[in-house]
Amino acid sequence: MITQDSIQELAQRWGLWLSKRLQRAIGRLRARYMLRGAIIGRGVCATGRIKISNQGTLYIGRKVTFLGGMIPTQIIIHRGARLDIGDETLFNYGASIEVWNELTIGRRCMIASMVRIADGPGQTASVVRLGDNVWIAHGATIGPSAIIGEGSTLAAGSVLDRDVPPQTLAIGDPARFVGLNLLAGLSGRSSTTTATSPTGAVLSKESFQ
Amino acid sequence: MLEHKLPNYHDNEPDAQTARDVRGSTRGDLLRTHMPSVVSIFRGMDNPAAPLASVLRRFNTRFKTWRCDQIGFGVEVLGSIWVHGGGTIRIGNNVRLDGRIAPIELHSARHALLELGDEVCIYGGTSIEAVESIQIGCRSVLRPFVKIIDNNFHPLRGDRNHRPPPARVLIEDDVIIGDHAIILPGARVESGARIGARSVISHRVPHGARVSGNPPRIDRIAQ
Repeated sequence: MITQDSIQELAQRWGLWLSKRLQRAIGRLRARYMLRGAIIGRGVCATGRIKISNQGTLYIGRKVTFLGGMIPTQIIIHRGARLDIGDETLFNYGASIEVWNELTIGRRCMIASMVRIADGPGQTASVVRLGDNVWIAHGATIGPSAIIGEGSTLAAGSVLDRDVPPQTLAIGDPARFVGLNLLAGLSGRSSTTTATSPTGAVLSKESFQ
Repeated sequence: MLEHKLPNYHDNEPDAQTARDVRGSTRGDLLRTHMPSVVSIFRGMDNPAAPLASVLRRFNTRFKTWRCDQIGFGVEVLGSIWVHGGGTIRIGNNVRLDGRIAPIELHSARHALLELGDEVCIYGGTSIEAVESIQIGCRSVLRPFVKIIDNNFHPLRGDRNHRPPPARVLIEDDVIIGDHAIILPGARVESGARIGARSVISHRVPHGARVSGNPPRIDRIAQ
């Protein structure tokens, strides 16, 4: 059954899809230009400005995305330093990364807006390493030395200066840790969530307490 | 200092009162005494282009807030603001959006509501993202780089692209929110509360309380 509404809806959906593809294509070109000093993989996309000052080495994996917004993303790599960014990692606007020694970001990480990651001021022997699937929420600060295990989450506005085990939620200033498996058990008891969507409003409320 | 004179529209009409007394107050006289003439506008004021500037500012505000669904009287927008999303955005009377140090983001997703009450003042770098409903009461102040969200956008475990259900955010009248503070989904800040810089709020803050820190603590409750 073809009605005017269905045609309109289809057109809208295809229009949206097209515009997204176009944005992505422009973003790829933009990334090629802005990250020209770096060693970058295929499909790196930048839909916003990136302020970059690279005096060391910068490796960027495949399909890394830098989203645009109010404030440009900032990357500073000092002399002799090295920054590794894994595949499919996502950066939101206003993230600021400063490297003196060595900073590694894993695959499929999500780094939200206004996050600050710096491996210490000056040439100390500090290393920051984020595992795979790490989610850093808005306004968090990491440094000067921290190793974050895979699948961990750093809650909004928290300040982290120590290592985090895998599958852990770190909250607060200074950060304290809660196991994500423990949290999932709690939310399962409140019977508001399903297996496919393990987090609900209840869980998120508890987690940010 | 005493000699300093405020600009006065009626400066060139010292005998206006007496003239009206003599002639009697007809409608034309009232109009003439109360309407500043072209000469008086330019003589009595520091900035001769001030009326033009105010008109231009009004147009500028109109232009910057054209994506909003409803705008009150006397809204002032300084610097740049970024309004996007398919939802409803309502702005009350005499709201001041000061985006000079960094742009202000107002985002309202489809079917969402973002409401700013009368005389709200928002400073630069602040970002308000509504997925269901965010309401800010009258005379509230949001200091620079505040973030207000009513959705976590990603779950803690499992598929990171799945979006968890939103929880409404309500900020009542006369609230002051400090720099870099973050208001998370489900928060309800009651009237007269003050939230310290860099604190993270996700729960109810009682009437008139002062809250600070991360995790937040109540420093003082209302007398």
